[in-house]
Amino acid sequence: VTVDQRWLVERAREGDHDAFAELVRASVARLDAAARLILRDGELARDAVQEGLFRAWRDLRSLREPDRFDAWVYRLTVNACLDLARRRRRRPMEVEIVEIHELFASNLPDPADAVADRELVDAVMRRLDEQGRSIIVLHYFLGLPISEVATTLGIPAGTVKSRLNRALGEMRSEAHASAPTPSLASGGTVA
Amino acid sequence: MSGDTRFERKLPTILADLGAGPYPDYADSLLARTAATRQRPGWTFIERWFPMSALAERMATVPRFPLRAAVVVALIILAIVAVALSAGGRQRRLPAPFGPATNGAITYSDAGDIFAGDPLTGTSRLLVGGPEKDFGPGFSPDGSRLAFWREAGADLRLFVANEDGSDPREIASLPADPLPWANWAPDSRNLAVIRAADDGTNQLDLVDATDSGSVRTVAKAAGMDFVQYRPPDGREILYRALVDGKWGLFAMNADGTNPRTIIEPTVPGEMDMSFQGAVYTPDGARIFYQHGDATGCCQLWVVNADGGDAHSFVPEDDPGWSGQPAVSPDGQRIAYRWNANNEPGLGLAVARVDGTGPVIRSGPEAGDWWAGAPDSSKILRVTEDSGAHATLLDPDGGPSTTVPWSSEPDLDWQRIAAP
Repeated sequence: VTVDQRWLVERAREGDHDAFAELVRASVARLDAAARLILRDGELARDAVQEGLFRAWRDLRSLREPDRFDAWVYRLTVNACLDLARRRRRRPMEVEIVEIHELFASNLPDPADAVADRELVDAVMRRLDEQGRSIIVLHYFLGLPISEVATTLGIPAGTVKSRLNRALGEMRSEAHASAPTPSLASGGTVA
Repeated sequence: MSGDTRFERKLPTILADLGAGPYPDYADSLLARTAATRQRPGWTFIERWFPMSALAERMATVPRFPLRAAVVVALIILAIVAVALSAGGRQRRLPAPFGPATNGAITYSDAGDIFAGDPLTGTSRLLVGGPEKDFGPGFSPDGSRLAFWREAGADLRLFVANEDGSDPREIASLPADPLPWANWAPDSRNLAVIRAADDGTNQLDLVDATDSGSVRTVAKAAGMDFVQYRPPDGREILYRALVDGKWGLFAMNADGTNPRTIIEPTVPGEMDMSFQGAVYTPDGARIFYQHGDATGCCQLWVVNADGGDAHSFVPEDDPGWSGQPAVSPDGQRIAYRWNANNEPGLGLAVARVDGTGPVIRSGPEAGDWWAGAPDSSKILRVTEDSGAHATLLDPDGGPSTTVPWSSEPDLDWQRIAAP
């Protein structure tokens, strides 16, 4: 947490909306990516991030430690993702179909093994439920330590570790078993 | 670089690629919305957000020792009755295993140790300390024993101690993955433990808590991840299971015989919160459960214990998500999780079990789980935050109070006999 961010949080907590806007602009892209990874759906991710940030503004005065702003917003956003996922189960919904080569289009050319890595990570992520994906995203993408992932999701650290290990194990297994030519990922219909 | 660490090291970069997208175009509309919204005043927050560094790990995905329902696996130990020798050598009177009792101590875990607190005096005392990571405490139904989990590498060890934490002894050691589940049997001598069986099903064992570990396997069923003993005598067990990939609700005799269907297994397996945390009413006549179907899950439903008259409990004009029921020991109130359509978050609702009410309907920031006090005078609400203070709600909607100690969200209220 930078001094600037701490100052912005303190100002926003006092009702300075411009300060809050700066905080939002600095974090919204990362939160959006995290929500997309968890929900696998751009529209739902958009809703979740908006909900998380809206709650952050509304309830900012409940945040006792400004230094915890990032972790707090991660928690609000991930919980918003999980709430949306619960409601999504109430009705069938088309999952956004995103082909892997499109996701990578903006990147520098990848060696084949890097593409394969991404494809198998993508495949394993698809098989996980939202909570499983949240664990991966909170730890590996947002950089929270395991104890904070556990606290954020309300599960024991042992569960976080075991689910991380299981996901990594699947990735290793897929890597060993994968065909040399990667195929395109595809979406589908889930309930 | 070894294969085992390869993905771990690359994952942040790979995930950044997978989640990459254009800069969100909704920041401005969001900020317009927040600019038009007033912040909540600080005094309206009963519990402020506590530091996440104050460790509080808990099982959230399955029922725990107290009343708890939620996603895939967890533990808890529910409390009932009371036995033990008084100082003069007289035998202490014990409450019946079901129904109302007098409030005893509240046990909780904090930073790997087990404590007991008195909500009236605000004092708390250490029950089980030491360097080990202990959590998930739960009193036996008679209040005389305490069970808790201890982390041990890849295993979880189930311990039982006297109610004051003395004489802790291990009675079972189980792989932590998948997480086992445990709950006291009504006799306060055995713990019902569910673990993964070798054949891919789940196995219900009865572990003797009095003589260090005799184990008797009661039943096996795919998907079974909790059991509920039926009041008033505990002779039947309620459980959910997967049959041909579909969730259903079932009951059997407490010895595993005579399995029977309460609700036909028709709910698709992916609706994996269906029936989770189903609970009997204290008279054993009805069952509250999370209803799911092919279109989604969950809504709070109620069914007679024989499977008849299944219907939605929450009024039809409130068709949002609802579930995670906890019925007060006197059978008068039910607390459950809810959210109305288009409302973010999940709040706590309290209604009368006859369906009238609600008495309480909180905002979306409600705690993660709740349980009724043994005498039904309060609802113990535990927030999702680590190191937070649990709240004692008045089930009639009166003022709430906050317990004076912070804890992990694993709490259980001891039941003792009325004086």
